[in-house]
Amino acid sequence: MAAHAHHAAETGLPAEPERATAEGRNKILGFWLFLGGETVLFGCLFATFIGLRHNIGNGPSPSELFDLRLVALATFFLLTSSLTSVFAVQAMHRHQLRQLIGWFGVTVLLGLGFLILEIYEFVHYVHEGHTFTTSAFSSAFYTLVGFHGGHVLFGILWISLLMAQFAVKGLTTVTAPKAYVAALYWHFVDLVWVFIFTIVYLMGMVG
Amino acid sequence: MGFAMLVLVINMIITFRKPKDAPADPWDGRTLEWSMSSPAPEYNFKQIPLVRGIDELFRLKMEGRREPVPAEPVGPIHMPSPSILPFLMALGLFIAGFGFMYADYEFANGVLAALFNNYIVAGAGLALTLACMFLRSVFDDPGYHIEPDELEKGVHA
Repeated sequence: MAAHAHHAAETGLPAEPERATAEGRNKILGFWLFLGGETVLFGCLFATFIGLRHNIGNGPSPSELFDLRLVALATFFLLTSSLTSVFAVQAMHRHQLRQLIGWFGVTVLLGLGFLILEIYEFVHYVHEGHTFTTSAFSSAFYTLVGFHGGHVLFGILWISLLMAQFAVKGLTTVTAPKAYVAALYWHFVDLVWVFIFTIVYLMGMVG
Repeated sequence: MGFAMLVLVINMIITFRKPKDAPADPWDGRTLEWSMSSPAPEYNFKQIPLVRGIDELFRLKMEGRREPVPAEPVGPIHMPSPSILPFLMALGLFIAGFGFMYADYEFANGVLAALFNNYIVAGAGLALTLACMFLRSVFDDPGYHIEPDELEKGVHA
């Protein structure tokens, strides 16, 4: 702990560098408003999916299609990545730049693991005859789950870019809010997945 | 609808040709935005006004005042630098949406067919938006300050 205090004194940053400036606080508030808009977007996609999920036409049904073991592994990856992004923000509050970059790196790797599993899952479904235009269920499924996957991909690119920025620019009151809102975004994407797992996969298995 | 648009366009042309001499408070307003000069200075309020209730300007007028009570001393005002990036970001999304809409359309023109059906238009739009987001993230905008002695020099807006 003494080492931490020494390091904190060295950087001269406040305890919560992301809230140290008005610009930082505005950025965080603005990002919460953005997440409100994202909530509406995903709310529409969920409502569409719930309305159409029984209209499988001649295509495969959810319980024939889904393999919960694979989805559970993907869920494990994503939920753990949310935890590691918390570790990254905690490292930022301790002004430990290398730990911040390192935990963001673990977050990105877990996100990549999730994304690879999802791509494998989609390719598998297409081979099973479950394509975007098979049925109302399949269109709603790919739109909702694909939008979430796109968000994960964007988050991976974003956090990777932030890691490079932290390596070059260091931890300042300008860069700290970026890490904080990226972590907020990652939690949001994680939370959406919890609902997808419940509504798409678990409710799909019980019919 | 075409006629309504025509009226709108005529209105825009006529308004554009008139001088920008609208008075500051033509409707005898009740709320603080009407205490602003017209056209408004780029920094809006020189000092954050003290708000003591709804319809603050009405309250001030009842007290016989025109200027809001300042809630902070005069100081340098932090402004964001002007930037074309947000506009290009939105333009990229428009191009991408256009590209996705017509991705399956059967064009008679071979060049258009090649551009749209291979998602080149959609991809170019997304690339433009992502490139602008990248630039905005990497190059931090510290903005600039309008110093108190410059505040009196007048209006740039």
